[in-house]
Amino acid sequence: MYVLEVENVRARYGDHKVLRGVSLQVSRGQWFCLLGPNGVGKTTLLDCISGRLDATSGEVRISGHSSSVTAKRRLGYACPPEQLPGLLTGRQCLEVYAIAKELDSIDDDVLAVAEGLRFTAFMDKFVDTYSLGTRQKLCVLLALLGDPDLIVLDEAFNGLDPRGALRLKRHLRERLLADRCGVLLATHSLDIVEHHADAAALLIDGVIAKRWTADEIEQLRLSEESGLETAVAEASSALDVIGA
Amino acid sequence: MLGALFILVTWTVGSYLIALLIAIPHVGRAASQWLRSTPMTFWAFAWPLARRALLHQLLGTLIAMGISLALNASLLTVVYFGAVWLMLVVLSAAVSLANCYRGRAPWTKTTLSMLTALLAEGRVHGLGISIALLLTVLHLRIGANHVRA
Repeated sequence: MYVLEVENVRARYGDHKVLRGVSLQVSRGQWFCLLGPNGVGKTTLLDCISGRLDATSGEVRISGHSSSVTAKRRLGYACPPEQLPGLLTGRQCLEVYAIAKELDSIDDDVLAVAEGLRFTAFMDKFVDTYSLGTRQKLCVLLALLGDPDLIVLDEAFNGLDPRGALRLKRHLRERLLADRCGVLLATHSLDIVEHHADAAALLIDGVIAKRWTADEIEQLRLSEESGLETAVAEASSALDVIGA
Repeated sequence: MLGALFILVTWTVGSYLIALLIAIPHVGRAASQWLRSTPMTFWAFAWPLARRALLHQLLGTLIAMGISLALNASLLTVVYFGAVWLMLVVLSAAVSLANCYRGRAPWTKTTLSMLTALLAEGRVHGLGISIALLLTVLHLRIGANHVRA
């Protein structure tokens, strides 16, 4: 069962075509990593999936629902840290987001993760006073609210301290093992791909240039020290040659 | 002395009301970007943002009207300007929040709507208020019927 189906999605900003027909699927229990250099359309794709941007064409379904409201009820999206409202406290952000997601209160599960991430001490402080890492933690907590079928994270481990990052990875893995959700993570970190991803894809210039299955990732991890790094570099270079 | 105090209070209240008027599109824009990936309906989005601001506008306008009456302005004039101001406030809130909810920049449409209402009111008394009411209802309907991607 797919928690995310993206079919031939195209998007543009004015005349600039950012996505030129992207298709991918994420299954329940799967950690899917989206790789790619800066400016190739990773964030734009996540924006189309989260409903923050209207795709020019194509379809996005979350747990089989393409209707925006029904689909968004099943989505947990970690917004960019700079978009958090600075004049609210972390707790207020969670409360407002819970209301927006039609929940009665903040999940106990999310409060436990906040405790694990050592976020509780910042809960009643204004977001404006947060460091990047603390903002990032809040963004992830917002994404976890309401036990979503699909968790979408954009560079969510940037700025997190190693302990927090490890806790978060473990928590996501627990959710995946329990088949509670699927995770889509846009990242530059090949380490995360090698150690956590069940599938990965490389996005170059608005198209999926290469895909890796869990077995292929495992082989690359075991083959040599920088197997995936080499594979990503080769795939990127091959497309540069074609582009040239 | 009392007249000077009244003018000072009116100036303070007026500044506050204008700041409040400008704040709604700002806050709406920020909230829309932040909450756009949630299944929030237009009314659930707009009402909490506008409720307190509209209440403060109403109270501030009543205070300003009371001061104007104390300064010997005619009741009819005071009520008229109070109604025009509140009409602009409601129009601005409706247009800006409907556009924010739809993920669009609120400034141009809000400014044009207010200018249209003011110009119409300048030509014929009551026409601007009617146009403002019409535009308010129209934008609220657009916001409520908008299906976010």
